[in-house]
Amino acid sequence: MSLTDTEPLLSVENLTVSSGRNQLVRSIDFKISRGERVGLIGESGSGKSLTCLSVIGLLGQGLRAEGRVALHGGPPKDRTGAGGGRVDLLTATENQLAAIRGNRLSMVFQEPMTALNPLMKVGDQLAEIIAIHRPKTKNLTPRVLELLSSVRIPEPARAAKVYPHQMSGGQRQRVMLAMAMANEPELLLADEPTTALDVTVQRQVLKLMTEQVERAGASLLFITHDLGVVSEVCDRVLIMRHGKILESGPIDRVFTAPEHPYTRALIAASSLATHPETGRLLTLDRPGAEPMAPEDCQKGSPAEQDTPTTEPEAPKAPGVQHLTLPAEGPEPVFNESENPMIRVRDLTRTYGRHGPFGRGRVVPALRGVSFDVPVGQRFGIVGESGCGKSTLLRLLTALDDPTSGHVEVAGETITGRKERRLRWLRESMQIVFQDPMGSLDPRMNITDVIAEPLRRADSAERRHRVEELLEQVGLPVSSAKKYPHEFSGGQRQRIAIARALVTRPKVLIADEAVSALDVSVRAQVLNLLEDLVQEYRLTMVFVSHDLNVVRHSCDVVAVMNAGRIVECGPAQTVFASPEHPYTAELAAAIPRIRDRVS
Amino acid sequence: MLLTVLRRLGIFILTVLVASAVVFFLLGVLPGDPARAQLGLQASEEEVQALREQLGVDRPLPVRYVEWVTGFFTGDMGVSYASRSPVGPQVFDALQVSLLLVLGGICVAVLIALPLGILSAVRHHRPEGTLFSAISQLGISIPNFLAGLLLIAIFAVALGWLPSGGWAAPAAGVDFFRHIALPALALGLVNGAILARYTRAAVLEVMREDFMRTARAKGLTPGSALIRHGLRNALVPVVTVTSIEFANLIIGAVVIETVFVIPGLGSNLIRAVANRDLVMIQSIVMCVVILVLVVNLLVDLLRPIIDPRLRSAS
Repeated sequence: MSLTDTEPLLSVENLTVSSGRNQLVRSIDFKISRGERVGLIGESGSGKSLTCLSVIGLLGQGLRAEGRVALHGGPPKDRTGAGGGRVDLLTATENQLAAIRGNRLSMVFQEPMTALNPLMKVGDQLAEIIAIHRPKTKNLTPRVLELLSSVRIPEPARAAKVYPHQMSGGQRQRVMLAMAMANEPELLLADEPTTALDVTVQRQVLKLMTEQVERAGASLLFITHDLGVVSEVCDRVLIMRHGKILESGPIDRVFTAPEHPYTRALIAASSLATHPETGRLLTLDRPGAEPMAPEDCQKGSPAEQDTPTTEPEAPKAPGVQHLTLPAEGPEPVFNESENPMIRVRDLTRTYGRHGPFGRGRVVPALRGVSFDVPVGQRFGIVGESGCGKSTLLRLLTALDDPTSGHVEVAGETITGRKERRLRWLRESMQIVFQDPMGSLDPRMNITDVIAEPLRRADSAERRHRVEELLEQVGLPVSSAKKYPHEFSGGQRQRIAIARALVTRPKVLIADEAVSALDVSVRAQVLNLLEDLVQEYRLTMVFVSHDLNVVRHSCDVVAVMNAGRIVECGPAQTVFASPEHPYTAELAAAIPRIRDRVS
Repeated sequence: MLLTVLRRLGIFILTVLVASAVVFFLLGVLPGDPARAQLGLQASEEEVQALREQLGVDRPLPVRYVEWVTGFFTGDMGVSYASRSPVGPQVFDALQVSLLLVLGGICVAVLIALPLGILSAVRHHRPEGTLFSAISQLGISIPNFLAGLLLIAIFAVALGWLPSGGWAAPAAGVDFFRHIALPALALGLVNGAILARYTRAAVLEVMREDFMRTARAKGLTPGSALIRHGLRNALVPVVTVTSIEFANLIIGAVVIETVFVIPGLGSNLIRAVANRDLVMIQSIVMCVVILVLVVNLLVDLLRPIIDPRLRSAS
């Protein structure tokens, strides 16, 4: 390997990916050396995934790659002798590429839930990749078990015999990693490999990936939108936007002294940096305006710019008790207050039912939760998948009935009521959902989407109200006649917010409302929510898996784990000095840009 | 797993019982008197009444239902109003013939649908793909009796290769195949075309799945990725549609049996309807219902074998 030290492993020259006349990646150049770990960072539509797919030759139909992508020589590898030597990946034949994929180049994809064949046992899928490239290998089982234990899958012998759906997301992603590393590739491509995972699981998978890549002496091309993640894994980063590489360099330099304004803005938006005077989140673009250089609104270097978020400002929720779930004894009422907007007591919900002979499985989703949300408070709920936060939300909005316990909104019990007696609740409590693509009816124009809840209003009044709301959420009035598919994700989320506010609700429930958005858009939507909460005097319940977001946008936060609230208190205090071990673990697992810098 | 099978079997038995009641009472309340139908308008009221008593149709419906159901499931299906001979053996013979014909039709349909569907999916962006789709579209638009007549015109009349009708038992060997070829083809062509479209959609869907991209990233060529990972996944919806098609084939067989003069359930059914032979009609309809339910049961039990996600968590 010492022979090739001076030569890069992968060189990309003048790579252009186009769909018809539309250039999605515009003549980019970069190199990856042996053993180097490179992060490719960009927001959606930046062309980062396309770059990765053109390297491995798996671009979708209708996409064309031009330029040169060369994989340079290495020790010759088995099967057809195609391995070893220099290969131009864009001009190679399908058979040459097939010999390289999974062998010299391999890839881990974003979605662990769908990336494995659901009908094939995990062990067989692992054995397959070895069999493809090492057809002479006899008895693959020991190697499969070795691979499974190398990615710390417990009980490898049993795990090899299960189907993917019987594994958790984190386990599946480890299997994908084991599969990608099975033939000790020279270059591992990872496309957002941990985006779909919980933070604590993400941390384990990232550690494992770094470990595996290091052990095999492989290079890594890591694609992500998350600057925190990349700083845990990579040596060097490339910042990509609109199909171009704007900046590249060693990660410490790029993150501490970014040269390009976009990089600076991206770093600010990712760490939820706020303006030192106004306290508002720094954003990349103003809606409808030209990209704003972050210099306009900030002074000092980005390293200093992080500071405002870390220093707790004046506590946002004076007088709120910081409580944790005691190991024994009765569960406390968290955030207790007089005359709250929302009162929840001993709420439980179990799923599944008993079979005819008392058999069957019962899964407790919510195991006794009590808390209050006072009028005008911004109450955050955080937790990982399966912690019960979605169940809690369904009960709060009376979309489901609890197994026991009760919920009051504005002093009225809503649990166990018939739907037609909940009309008032449907007006005074509104929800903004996570998926801005799926939660708007594609066949309704924006006026109809927003004005649908206004049944009694005449058309002039509806039009007036829609225009007013569009203005409030920062969309042009001309959007009123358009359809959802004509908007970007961030714009659709603005429409969803407008729809939620049309009834002038008292309570707004945001269910992972910014989780599907790019970081720069996320800052805009969070700023918007903050303004509207004040303007409409809303009580907000903000559910998220993202601790940083909750910390920024909520006064009080409740941390949930396994169907219970384990800790609740003022947002800044809970994260600055967590008292429950689970909260501490969660807070420690968040990848942070500054870990690297400090 | 065993519990699932038992539960599924229980549902099957319940469905059969409900179906038998529906079949019996629906046909029972139809106007038309079997005794009058046999004796003609000239017969006196006394004669008709006497025949009614002899046939047992003067008794209340529920009593006749219980009698018929217990008889049906013990093999004694009653006596035909028209021929006065036991219904059981006639239905049983016809059932064998129809079953063979329908199975032949299914074989033809699957043999046409799988290659046509897979090829038109794999080549969907090329001219061949469009051609395959056009062929299956054409197949769907031809009614099966017309296909039957065309086949007779070509292979029996013009070329003289195969008989234009009639039936031979499987014991007859080559003669059996000569007789079943055209009707099975007529039956299978149209359903094969429909099935081909479902196969095409299922394969197209599977080709877009993430795990197919994983398979390519592992180093499989597109063809081997489709064979090793794609087809089994595409099979799940195709098997379900095939079982639905099965019911269509049985109904199609009623017409095809008439076209090719085959002594199956269909031709017997048409004769029985003409004769107002209620017992016969009930027994045949019931046989068809049970046949369709059995196929559904088998497919329900087969699906978890293909797709492990459908097995109950254990």
